[in-house]
Amino acid sequence: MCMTCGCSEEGQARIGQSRRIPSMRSHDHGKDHPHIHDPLHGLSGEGMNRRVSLEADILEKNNRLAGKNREYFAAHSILSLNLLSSPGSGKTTLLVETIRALMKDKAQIRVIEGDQASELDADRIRDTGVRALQINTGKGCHLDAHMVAHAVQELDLSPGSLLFIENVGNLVCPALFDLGETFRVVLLSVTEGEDKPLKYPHMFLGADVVLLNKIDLLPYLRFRVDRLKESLERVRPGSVILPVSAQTGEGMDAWIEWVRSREPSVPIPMIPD
Amino acid sequence: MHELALSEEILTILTENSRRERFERIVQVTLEVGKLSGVEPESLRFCLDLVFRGTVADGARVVILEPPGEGWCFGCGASTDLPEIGASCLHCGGGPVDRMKGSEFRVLAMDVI
Repeated sequence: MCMTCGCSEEGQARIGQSRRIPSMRSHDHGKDHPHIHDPLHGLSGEGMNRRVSLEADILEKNNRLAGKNREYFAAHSILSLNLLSSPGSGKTTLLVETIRALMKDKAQIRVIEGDQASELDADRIRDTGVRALQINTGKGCHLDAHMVAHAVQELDLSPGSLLFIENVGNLVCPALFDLGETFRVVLLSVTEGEDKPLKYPHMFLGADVVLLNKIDLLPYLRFRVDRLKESLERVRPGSVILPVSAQTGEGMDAWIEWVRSREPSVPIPMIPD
Repeated sequence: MHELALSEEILTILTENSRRERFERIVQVTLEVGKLSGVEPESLRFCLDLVFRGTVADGARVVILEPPGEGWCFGCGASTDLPEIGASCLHCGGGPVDRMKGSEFRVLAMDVI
């Protein structure tokens, strides 16, 4: 890579095993752009520039706000679950059925819904009688800690409540943004393929539990649960997989039990570094 | 495209630090984007170009250092190169391999005139 302008002669994207898609920038330095390959040198040799060292973590602001959310949840004994998956793997259906099962418990349940647009998902939750707040991210592809902090304020949660945060359907972007949740729940449906954890490792690296949804469709597909376990084991050893069908109710008992037995006051950091 | 949100975050860091420094404009920004950080340098570059327009960093050169991934193998107890998360250990062929390095995502410096 050229250290002066940072352009790569090879792009990051790859086709198949070895063929790389070339970078969208050519290695052209132009007249006013000297070709110096020392990253620490920059243009300081020209005598005009001054280097200001910053050493700033780019996700620091989000992480700081996530930390505040986490403190708030712990202080008020709120169990918060960040629900993540690709679009269409059944997050909202699962949530509706989960709420129905947990409503018998006396604890207050609240939901934050994240989508690019519309109130459709929040409306589905409201039909259960539970209060839901919709966040529309617009051009954004994920929820962040700042949005969640405001939503939490709006929801006015009582101590001991259970908060579900349904993130924007996306296996890439939400992985990097800690919301301050107590636990991360990643959902995957059997129509998506067993290799998803290897293709989207960042998402599965942070998962406290993985739900395999739509298992009622297994007889019609070539999906192999043991292969999913293998790929998950490579990305996050010791991962817990709960096979469920939100539609038929199969396996839902184990999932409901998992939620019931979580302690709200034990905050788990997003990605162990 | 979380790179757009991240680019805005980078601009915020630059502008916040600009208040403390006296200069005309930022001519170069040096970033560290680890190979296992989950951030795509090419997308980031594209988004920074857009986000920098009309700001103190308009036209600034973006230098991206990409420290490689390194891990520790639970199987054989050795440090190993880790080209991607979930890759096998280069020594014993097994694993699992825990990510130790490569997740860096920082603004290292800005060059100003």
